[in-house]
Amino acid sequence: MKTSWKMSLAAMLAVPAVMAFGSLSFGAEKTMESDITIIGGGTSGLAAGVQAIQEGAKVIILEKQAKVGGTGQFCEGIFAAESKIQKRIGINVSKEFAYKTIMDYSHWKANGALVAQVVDKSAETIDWLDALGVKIEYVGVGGFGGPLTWHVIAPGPDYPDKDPKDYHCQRMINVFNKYILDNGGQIYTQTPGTGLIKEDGKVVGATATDKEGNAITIKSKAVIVATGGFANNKEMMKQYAPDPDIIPVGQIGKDGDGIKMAWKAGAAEEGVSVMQLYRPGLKGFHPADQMIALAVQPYFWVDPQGKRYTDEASVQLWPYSGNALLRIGGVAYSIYDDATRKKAVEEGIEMPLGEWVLQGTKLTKWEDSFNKELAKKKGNVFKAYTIEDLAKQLGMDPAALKDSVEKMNTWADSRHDGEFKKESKFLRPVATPPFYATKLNPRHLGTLGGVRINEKTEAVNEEGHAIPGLYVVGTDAGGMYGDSYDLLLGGGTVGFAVNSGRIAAENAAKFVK
Amino acid sequence: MKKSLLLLSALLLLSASASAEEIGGAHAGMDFSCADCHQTDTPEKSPTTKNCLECHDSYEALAKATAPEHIDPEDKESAANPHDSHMGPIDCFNCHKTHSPSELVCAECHSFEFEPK
Repeated sequence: MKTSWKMSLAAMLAVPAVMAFGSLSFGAEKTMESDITIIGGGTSGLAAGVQAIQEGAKVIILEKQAKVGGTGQFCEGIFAAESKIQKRIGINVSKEFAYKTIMDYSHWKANGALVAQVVDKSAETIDWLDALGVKIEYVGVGGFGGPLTWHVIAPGPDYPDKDPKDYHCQRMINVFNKYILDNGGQIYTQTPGTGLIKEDGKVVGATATDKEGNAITIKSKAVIVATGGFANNKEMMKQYAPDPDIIPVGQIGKDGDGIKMAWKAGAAEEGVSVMQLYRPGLKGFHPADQMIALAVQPYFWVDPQGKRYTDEASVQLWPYSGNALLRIGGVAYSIYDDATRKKAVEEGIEMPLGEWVLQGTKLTKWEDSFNKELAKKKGNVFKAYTIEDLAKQLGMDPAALKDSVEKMNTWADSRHDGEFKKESKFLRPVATPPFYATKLNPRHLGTLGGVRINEKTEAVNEEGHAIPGLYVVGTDAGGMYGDSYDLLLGGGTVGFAVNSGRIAAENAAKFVK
Repeated sequence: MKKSLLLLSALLLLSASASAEEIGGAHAGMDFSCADCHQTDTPEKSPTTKNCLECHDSYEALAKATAPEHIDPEDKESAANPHDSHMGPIDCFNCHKTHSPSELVCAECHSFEFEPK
């Protein structure tokens, strides 16, 4: 117990008025200067940093966490259309097709001019990454059978700190981080940006708190906001999310810092309620967990009354399964029998979970994960030898669940889904005991909207006028979506992060000259 | 005189609003004042990790204190240490809270048994 700072009322009264009413800031004020200050050192902020240095700007990056990378640490690949590797393989994803796909998916609610900039830049960004040392391992899909746009990043050969995870997007982060530091950029970790400085209608700097708790003022000709959304801000989630309890994955300290700063500086809102809905699952389970990997196979999912509610195969495009689950209140149960379990464990899974659990992976760790959770009796997983008993454990009317199971078994037998028109390869009976159930809740990989920007990524006000000197990128910016996250073209979030970061840096560099 | 009365009432208001926040978590019942963590009795923002480490030694020392006693080679999660993670030395306040319940940020993706104080 530390007492040196304790003050009695009498002692406080003795304190001079200036201290009592002043901000009573602790430690020394520091002042720094840069051409461009970037708030947030995730994928988007670092991409902006590299580009800004290449444009000849003096760059300061403020990162709240102890490490750079943000949620970008957990992704694998980046969207592009008409990249060299796509053309070489013979993948026919034209810019026109990509643009139309994104705009149609959004019902043309997206910012058409911004989407065009991102699509047009995407292929050149793959060349830009290549020149920096970020290589592409292969080009994959968002959802199985979809357009090949997801440029999955290959392991790096040479990262000096020997980061054991020098692959996927972490490779890109490692390369960006090193490039910035090697080329005169400054990155301050554990130094959150706290506000924007506005003078005569222009943004001319930012304030921050360093790791010692000292206030910092950074004079700057332009500021790029890249703080990664608001997934951890409970108040904002309550106000904007379709359900505030959607389980976040890979989100730490995403308090909406940058979005709030930009709004305060006069920027308008856009797409704030769009969430990156992920495959449903349970809190506390890793994206590669094998019990969840089996539960999200598209077989037989029921609502809390025991009724099927969706084409389970919609999970191949996760936002679809997230939307369907939110519609019924956010609780469902995935039920499978022992034959399905055995097939997944001994022969491997049918539907891949991105790069986390590959198609054909034998779920040899299923048993450990399932039994560990079953023993906890938290109401997340269940096991029974009859459908009636399972229904009772799940609090369902046994007749209702039995009816749903019988229907599913009929569809599996006839190879035709008479209810939700599911692709026949995913029709499997629920017939061989024991039966297993896993609760499914909605999960998300972050928020995808906040600040309205234009095609230069400048923050704009309600009238559409740019706020000079203020750029907003990555998941702090709205404009790429209608009401839902778009997984039709894989790598979209990272594609927007990197391309919007580069676009911001190019425009900011012109602005500061 | 009028000025000092104003000052007095302002200070009383400030101390009233400050004490409106309850001290929960590990520091509950330890007679903490705002300034013990916030360095001021009229806090406007959260303390920093540095403020915590003024009493709690160092991140490394905390990592030592929370190191797992037994590591099961079959169970990767048994080797986890909340103060020595792949996220680096994340700020204390991501998990440890004083004015609201603490929460384990690792629990987004992992089913560890840790309970942050």
